[in-house]
Amino acid sequence: ETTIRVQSVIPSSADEIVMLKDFAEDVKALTDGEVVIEVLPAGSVVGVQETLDAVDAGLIEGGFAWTHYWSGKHPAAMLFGSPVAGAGVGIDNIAFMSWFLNAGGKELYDQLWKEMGVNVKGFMLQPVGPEALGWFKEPIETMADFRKYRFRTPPGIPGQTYKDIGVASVAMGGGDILPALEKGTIDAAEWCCPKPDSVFGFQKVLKHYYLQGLHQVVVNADLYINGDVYNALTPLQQKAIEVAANASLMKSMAYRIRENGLALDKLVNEDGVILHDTPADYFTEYMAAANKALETNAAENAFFKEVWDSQKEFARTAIPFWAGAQTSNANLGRAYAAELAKK
Amino acid sequence: MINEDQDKIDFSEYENIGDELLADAGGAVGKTLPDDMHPLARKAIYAIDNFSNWQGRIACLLVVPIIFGMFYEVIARSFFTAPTLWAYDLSRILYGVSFMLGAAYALMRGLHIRADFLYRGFTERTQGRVDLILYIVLFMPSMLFFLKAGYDFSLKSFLQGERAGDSTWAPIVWPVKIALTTGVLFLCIQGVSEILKSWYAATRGKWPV
Amino acid sequence: MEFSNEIIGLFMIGAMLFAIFVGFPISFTLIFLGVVFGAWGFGVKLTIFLMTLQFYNSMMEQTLAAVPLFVFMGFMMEQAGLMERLFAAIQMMLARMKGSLYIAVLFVSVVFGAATGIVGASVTILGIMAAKTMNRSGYDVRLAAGTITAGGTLGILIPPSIMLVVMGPVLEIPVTDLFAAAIIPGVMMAALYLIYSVGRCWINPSLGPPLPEDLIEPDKSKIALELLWGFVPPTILIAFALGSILFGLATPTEGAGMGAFGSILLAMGYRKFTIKGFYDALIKTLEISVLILFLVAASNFFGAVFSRLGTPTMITELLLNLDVSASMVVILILALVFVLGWPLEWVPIVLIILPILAPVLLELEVDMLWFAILVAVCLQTAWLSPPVALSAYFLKGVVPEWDLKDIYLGMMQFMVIQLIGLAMVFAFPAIATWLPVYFYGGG
Ligand code: NA
Ligand code: NA
Repeated sequence: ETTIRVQSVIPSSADEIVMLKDFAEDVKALTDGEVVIEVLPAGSVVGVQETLDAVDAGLIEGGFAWTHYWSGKHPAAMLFGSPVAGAGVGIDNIAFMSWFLNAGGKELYDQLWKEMGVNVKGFMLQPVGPEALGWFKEPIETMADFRKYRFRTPPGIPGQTYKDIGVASVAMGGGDILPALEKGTIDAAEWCCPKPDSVFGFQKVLKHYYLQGLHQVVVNADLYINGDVYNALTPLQQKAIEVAANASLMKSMAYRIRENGLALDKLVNEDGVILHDTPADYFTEYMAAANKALETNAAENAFFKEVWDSQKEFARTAIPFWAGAQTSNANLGRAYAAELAKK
Repeated sequence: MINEDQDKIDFSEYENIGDELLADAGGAVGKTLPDDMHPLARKAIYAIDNFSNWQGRIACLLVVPIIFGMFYEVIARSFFTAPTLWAYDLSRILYGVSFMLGAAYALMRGLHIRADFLYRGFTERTQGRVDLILYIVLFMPSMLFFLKAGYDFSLKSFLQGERAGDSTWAPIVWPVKIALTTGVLFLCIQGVSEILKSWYAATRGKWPV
Repeated sequence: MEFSNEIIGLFMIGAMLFAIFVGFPISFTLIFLGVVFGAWGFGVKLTIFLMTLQFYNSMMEQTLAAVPLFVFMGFMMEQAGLMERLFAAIQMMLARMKGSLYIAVLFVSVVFGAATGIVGASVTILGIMAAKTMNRSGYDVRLAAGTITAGGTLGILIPPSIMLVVMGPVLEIPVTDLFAAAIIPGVMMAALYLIYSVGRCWINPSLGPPLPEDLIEPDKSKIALELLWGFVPPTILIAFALGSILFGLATPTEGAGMGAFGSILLAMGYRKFTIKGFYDALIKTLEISVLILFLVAASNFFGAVFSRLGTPTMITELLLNLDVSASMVVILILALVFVLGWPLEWVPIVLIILPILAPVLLELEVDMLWFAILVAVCLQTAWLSPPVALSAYFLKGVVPEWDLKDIYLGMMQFMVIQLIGLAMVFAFPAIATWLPVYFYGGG
């Protein structure tokens, strides 16, 4: 029996951990109980930021975070964990899976760890996007309104891009956001999506919610297993993990849509949250700045360029189809939502 | 009348005003080390302690930019909706670097907290013996291991060009790791001086400084 | 014989409780024990790697950057001589009252507790300022010494407090919540001290007679002016630091920076700012910060080894299986903290003992904010418990004519009051939890 202790970077009550445990059950069942994945709470052996280093060294057998947590070690990690503005070409989380599983993404993902120089085997487990633009004190009509607020942004390029378009972007850890909002240290914030946001309790302080945002259209959580530990598994066990991981991609997507829907329903109908459409000029400004940031990074780093090129190449044919097909769904769905809202 | 009374108090005569945590500070750079000490030991102790003293004198300056950075950030954010990206990272990096680079200085000054309600009652000779053994058996090996691990740790980070993954500014972080390792190196060096001092106390029955 | 990792962890704790009392610096003892027991449990290579990770992590903990800032602020205030002014003003105002100096001491303690985060300065300065006049007026030495030492410890409970800043990350509670929660208990403790010392004075006026005639200022307007000059500067500083934190302009670390900045301005305003004094404050700041923060890092490493060995999970399960009630566990922990407070400083207690026990409390769903304040009040006794109570030596140092035995006996009286205060917070958690909920809506 092999026990893989996986330290996560978020509290054990989070949805990601619920899904991670579901994945662990699948692995256990598929390996006849031979591979046991045990989830350790964030910070139990090493700090959140040191999780990948600890897996690499074998201090813990596994880690669980979002790929872009490791952007500090390699800028291309962002293109896997949270490609800003859908890699600048409108890739959504489903299209991302298409790129990942079918258009060379996975091979580049395996290479990412080598580029980083860490001895880990990674598995993409949970598509989490699209994330919401965020929460505001007052409605915003234009980018000029947006720029009036001190806004908590995600770390790295997605956050820097806000700075680039003149938004007063404030960096802070998850645990500090709500206290900072309550006391007025910041006026607006983003975290994730309706379910995690409502668990955080943003609705207690802010009532204006914007779902459409570009900073983290695609977000992926993944698992890292120490290379030696992984290589010591039998081929069958390795296959079992891969199959369970692929299943987890679909299961997570399914879980998320329903859970976020339930949470949003409660936010709007019970907690008095008002949904708004994001100002139109946000998309153009953010998109332009994001592309600039992506180009800068591509110019500086060859592997970054390779990954981004692959995503753009995929997008060239896939996105016109997918976006076109999705538009009808989105329009129909929004018409239905509007009808519901009237009742 | 009362004010005149108050004015007469010369606070400078009470050296330990400050905090209780500083009360036990015994160490200082010994300008006059005892004559019956081996000249080489005397030279080494003086050189090392002096070196560590300078580390402290420089490391203590790092708090100044933190103060101004924090002040700037609060004013810029609260009154001009113009938060900085750097203040948060600057404060934690400088704070972390200052306490690691101050560690050897604090060792020289005898500031690291001891649970010393027994130790305090020992004769100086016994204190010297206890310290001598523990500096050699406990302190030095763990610091040398630490130095080795710190070296690997910072080298890897440097080669990666590692940046902070948990901030928007995303500054390079390998200088922090190098500071960590440097702090440990300084501790190893100061450890040599402490060994020599406790050796003297163990053999002569009194502390040299 | 082969031991499981969990058992090795138990040995590690046992060894720690023995080893630190040998008297070698605690940080290095903890590092050594971490390396030895970690190497035994999971190999030396991983252990020392874990050490670098934990030290690095501690270096990047932004909340703790507040520690040097609050410490610096305390030293600058001390240099500006703000405390003396306020004390003199209150002394003047209340000169004809019985026990007036007790009131002045406690009042100044509260105000400066709210302006700085360190303790030692209060005891020494209060001793220097109050003791001479107390002697001249024929005050009871024990009650006087007790009031001064107890008052001096208030600074560590009343926010801003470096103890609470260090406790926040350990118990995973926002420091702002801790600050808000500590305000009422801090003021309550001061009130209890006041009731005790002044109450005893009224029953037996010989314990604190009115001041002799030559110390009484007849000019009312002069008194008013002194009061103004005594009050304004500390109020400004409190607004800068604590105010900016509680009213949301700043995070605790930023607020500490504001306070540090404000203290420089005040020192300049009072023409007490010198480059030498400034540098001296910086050096002392480094000294205190290093001894606290290096121990933070060493303890984090020690705790991580312990955690990696799996012992906390085992202890938690064990205790939960014993089926003891949450309040029983809290009482046991407080008793442990109280006992350890006799030989140890607050720093190792907060850093070593609390993390080991926190998982159990979380499982038992104890309100951690309430628990943290209980520990803070309990730790205040560590300053008042002889023989290892540095406050006593400080006071003896500045008032040599007071007998150490009398100082001890005075402190013991206030330790009893401390326990009464502790019991009150235990019985009425709202004393701690009401204000944070009121400020920030709670939950
Ligand atoms: Na986000
Ligand atoms: Na205080």
